[in-house]
Amino acid sequence: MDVTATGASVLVEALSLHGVELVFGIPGTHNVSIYAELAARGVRLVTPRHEQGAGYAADGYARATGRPGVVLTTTGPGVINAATALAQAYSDSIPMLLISPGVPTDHPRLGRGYLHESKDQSGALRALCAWSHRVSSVREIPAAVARAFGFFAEGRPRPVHIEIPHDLLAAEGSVTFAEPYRIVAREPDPAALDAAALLLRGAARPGIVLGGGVQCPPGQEAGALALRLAERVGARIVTTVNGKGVVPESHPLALGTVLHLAGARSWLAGCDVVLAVGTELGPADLWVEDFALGGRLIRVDVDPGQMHGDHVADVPVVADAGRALAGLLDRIRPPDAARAPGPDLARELAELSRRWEGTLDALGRAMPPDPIVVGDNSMMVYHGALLSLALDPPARFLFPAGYGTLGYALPAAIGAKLACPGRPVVVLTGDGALQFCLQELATAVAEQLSLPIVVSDNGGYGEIRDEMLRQDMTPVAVDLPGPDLLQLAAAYGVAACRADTPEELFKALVEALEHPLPTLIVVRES
Amino acid sequence: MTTAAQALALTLTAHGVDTVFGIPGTHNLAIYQALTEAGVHCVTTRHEQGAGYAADGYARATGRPGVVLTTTGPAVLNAATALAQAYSDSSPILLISPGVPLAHPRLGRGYLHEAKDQSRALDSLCAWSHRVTSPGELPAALARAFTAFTEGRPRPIHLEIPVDLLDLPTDVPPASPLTVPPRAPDPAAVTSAATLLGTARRPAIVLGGGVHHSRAGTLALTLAERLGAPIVTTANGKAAVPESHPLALGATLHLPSVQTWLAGRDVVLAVGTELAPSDLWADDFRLTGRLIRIDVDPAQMHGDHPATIPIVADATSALDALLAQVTARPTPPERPPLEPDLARLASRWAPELKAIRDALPADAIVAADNSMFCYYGALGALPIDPPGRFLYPTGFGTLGFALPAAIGAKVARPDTPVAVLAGDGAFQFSVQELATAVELGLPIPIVISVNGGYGEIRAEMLARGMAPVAVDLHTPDFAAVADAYGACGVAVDTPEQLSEAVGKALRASGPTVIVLREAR
Ligand SMILES: Cc1ncc(C[n+]2csc(CCOP(=O)(O)OP(=O)(O)O)c2C)c(N)n1
Ligand SMILES: Cc1ncc(C[n+]2csc(CCOP(=O)(O)OP(=O)(O)O)c2C)c(N)n1
Ligand SMILES: [Mg+2]
Ligand SMILES: [Mg+2]
Repeated sequence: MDVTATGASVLVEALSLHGVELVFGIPGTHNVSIYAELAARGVRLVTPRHEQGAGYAADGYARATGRPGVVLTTTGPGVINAATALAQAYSDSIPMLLISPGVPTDHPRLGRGYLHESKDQSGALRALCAWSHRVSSVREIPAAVARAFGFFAEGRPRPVHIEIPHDLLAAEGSVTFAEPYRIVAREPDPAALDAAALLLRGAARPGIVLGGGVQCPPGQEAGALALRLAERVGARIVTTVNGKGVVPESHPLALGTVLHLAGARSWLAGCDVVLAVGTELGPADLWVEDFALGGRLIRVDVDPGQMHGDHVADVPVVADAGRALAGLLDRIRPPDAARAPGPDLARELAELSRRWEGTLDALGRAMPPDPIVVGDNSMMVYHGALLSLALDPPARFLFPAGYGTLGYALPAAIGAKLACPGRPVVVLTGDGALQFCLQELATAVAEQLSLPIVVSDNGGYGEIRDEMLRQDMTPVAVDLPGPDLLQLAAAYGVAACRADTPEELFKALVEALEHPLPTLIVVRES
Repeated sequence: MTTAAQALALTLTAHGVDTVFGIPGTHNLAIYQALTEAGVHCVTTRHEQGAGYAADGYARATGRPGVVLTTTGPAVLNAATALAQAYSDSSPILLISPGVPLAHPRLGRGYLHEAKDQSRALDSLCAWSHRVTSPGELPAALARAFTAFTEGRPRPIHLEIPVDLLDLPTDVPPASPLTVPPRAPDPAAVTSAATLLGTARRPAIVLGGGVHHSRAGTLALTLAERLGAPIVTTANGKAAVPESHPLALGATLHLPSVQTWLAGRDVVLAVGTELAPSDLWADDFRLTGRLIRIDVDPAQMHGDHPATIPIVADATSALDALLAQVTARPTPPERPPLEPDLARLASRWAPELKAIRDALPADAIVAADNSMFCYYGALGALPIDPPGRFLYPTGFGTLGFALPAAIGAKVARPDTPVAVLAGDGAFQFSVQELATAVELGLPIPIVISVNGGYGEIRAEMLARGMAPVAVDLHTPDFAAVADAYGACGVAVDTPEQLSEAVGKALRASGPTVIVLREAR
């Protein structure tokens, strides 16, 4: 049935039909009418202090729930400020919808110096998102929204941008709303499963790699199925960063998030059969460019694009991870096989994370069950927590893996905490990374979030300083006189303390988890 | 024989680059090393958006290109808003970044910092983005960028260097700068324009940012005096002529009274301006008289305001030529009654603006953000004289511009007083750059007008009859934030205190945040 309404109202109705209850964004002249409609419909509006924060918060929301995170900005700088977050979501396969106004329908493409005009806003976003679409009528809005949500469900989820010429927001149009599509997960090809099962059953040294694709959509137990399959064939499991915690890292078959350790890589290269599920096997996970497998490779992925590239699948299974794993379990019956040998990683592990040993041990002990740990691109996180903070499902580890941005953790944690208020959420970050999103301390306070923020302070960009030293270069542009973090926290109304020993850190984290507001805990890194 | 990174650094220094704004990362270390060896000052910001805005402030304050250096990926996009801002305001900025390796598959492989298409994203926001494919191409590509800044309308450029090229040797020598002479005007067009101006009974002159770029302010003023033509400037043209001059109407193109007046002029000379809706704050402004346009960009001759006499040329060359033909024939200048309009917009901040005016030299550089205090207030009601500047994010209209832009301007012109004016919303977009200003020891007064959030948007919501949402923000104690950064923080209650604080801040050894509570 046709309804006549303004573009803004049609947009918000379409979002509501798709279950959107929370939107991250900043209002501006061009999107005020959307805000009016969202407020009228009781959608929760979270306002960060920079649109980059809105983008990362939506990402954290999406990772924590499996539901698309929705960002609303104004035209121009608002959109481009969120661009880094969209590119981050693209690399990590996170469903995110950015809605923004654009220049009016009849705007000349040559430009005229209109407020917020750029050379080609949707062109820029198209180069970063799965797609960016500029609607050309009010009638098209419900279709565009439905298409976006359909896209998130149909394959590899990635960010999408919908641009609405801002004159359409006030214009009336007659529209039909579509019921949200129900898109069933893709079933695997039975012949491919037969071939995969045959390989796995006959493997002497099988190995399993699990990536972020096993995480989503959550609640579908793909991780549990993967673990059962591992037990059945006696295979060790290694996860990528985005796959961290998808199986219990405390399980004897789980090696943890160690794909970047030389020992784990040479073990994997020596496996005669590798099953890789929902992972790119990308250099950003392997930390080397020229890794090659020695055995046969079974790849399970919703994205056919993953079957080629660096690691060509011998048995490609283009399907939903859960469906494919269930199909494999049907084909590989009990009893469980004997455990194939795994690598000995103890020395390498200890070496890499030694610098943060006390810190991580204290964090591990203080961590409540099922936390959502949100890490930034700082050494304490990827040299430390990634390896030595073992997590069991449904715990989550949110980290800006592929694109490798800075300033992700605090806003992403805000999004995760808003999505899962009942769960403990903990931020791990560096002093450099924190500065990229510092303003969002105000958002965390405004939203009254209980949020421990552990900062590893080494006086600047420690990773880059180390790399400069390794290349015999005198460090430049890396030693940054920072603010007094305790004083800064206080200025934002955030509780803060210094933790000089692991014991102090343990106590501080326990207290921070009880505190109804954010707490900044500063750890001095040697 | 040099490495590509060294060829890059040497070509930059040959083009007069002595300062680069950026943040180091794994992919750009070779460039940092080469720049340091070449004696280039590397200013490290706390977010690449700050590097972008600082380079813009540097460019606007000097007319020389501002150079930004980031690593691949997130760092590039973090600077993207600043580039789009520079695009809309015709500011010459060069962003240099590494990119994925030469043989990187375009389909993607999960490489660190990989995006779907980094250079295409940038190409959609800059004049152009170019990815070099060999070390030998680098000097040529750089030279091309620097000439692009001088040959026409300056706009940002992105140069991407596949990361695996940086350490490769090349025997291609660093490029030396080319001189691109400014474009002279078509003599016939100048004669027609001079004739038209000579017969004008109610002439007016509009000056935009192009006049700054061409340093044509003095010529424009001489012409105005010869004709008795009042001068109005756009935001980017502010202070192209002394705003204290009797013929100067200031940056008031957005006032309805000025627009009515301008529409009624029989001849309008517009120099280096888009006459854009973002300057007019109106979509449908029309002139009725004849329009002479001088612009380096031929695209400006059409569009909303087609030129009766188009002069595609450098502003200085064109004004010089005009002055040679226009004889003194001053008409009694007819000023628009703009004071009531100005008062209506700016009265809320009048005492504060006067206090700031009193404390700053008349030719200071003022970096202003996209806050009401700045565009309702300072734009029209804080007069500035050359060589002072008003650095303001006009066309693209971003937030968080002022503090980093002021850092860039102060680095470029250490002897000129530089001040920041920003709202509490805008300031938070780039608050981390306080650390940069402290590290560099820049004595910048930073006046923050606090009204508890996004005041402009709040007013717009009220105007449309809706209850304000998402605009009333929890804000930090800004003076305490300043203290935490090792800057000075003061809250002021009266114009006298404000004036004193600004004066003191100009003599301090680092930045001072001056918190001004705004009446709602
Ligand atoms: C947006 C962005 N800019 C720059 C980089 C390059 N980079 C990677 S790690 C790093 C240092 C981060 O500092 P901090 O968070 O303090 O961690 P640390 O290395 O000191 O442990 C930098 C600058 C990046 N990854 N992303
Ligand atoms: C990056 C960006 N996001 C959002 C906007 C929309 N916007 C325009 S003015 C404004 C409010 C700015 O607040 P503040 O600086 O405190 O100035 P005030 O309006 O309170 O005077 C906002 C959010 C914008 N112009 N740019
Ligand atoms: Mg650090
Ligand atoms: Mg404000």
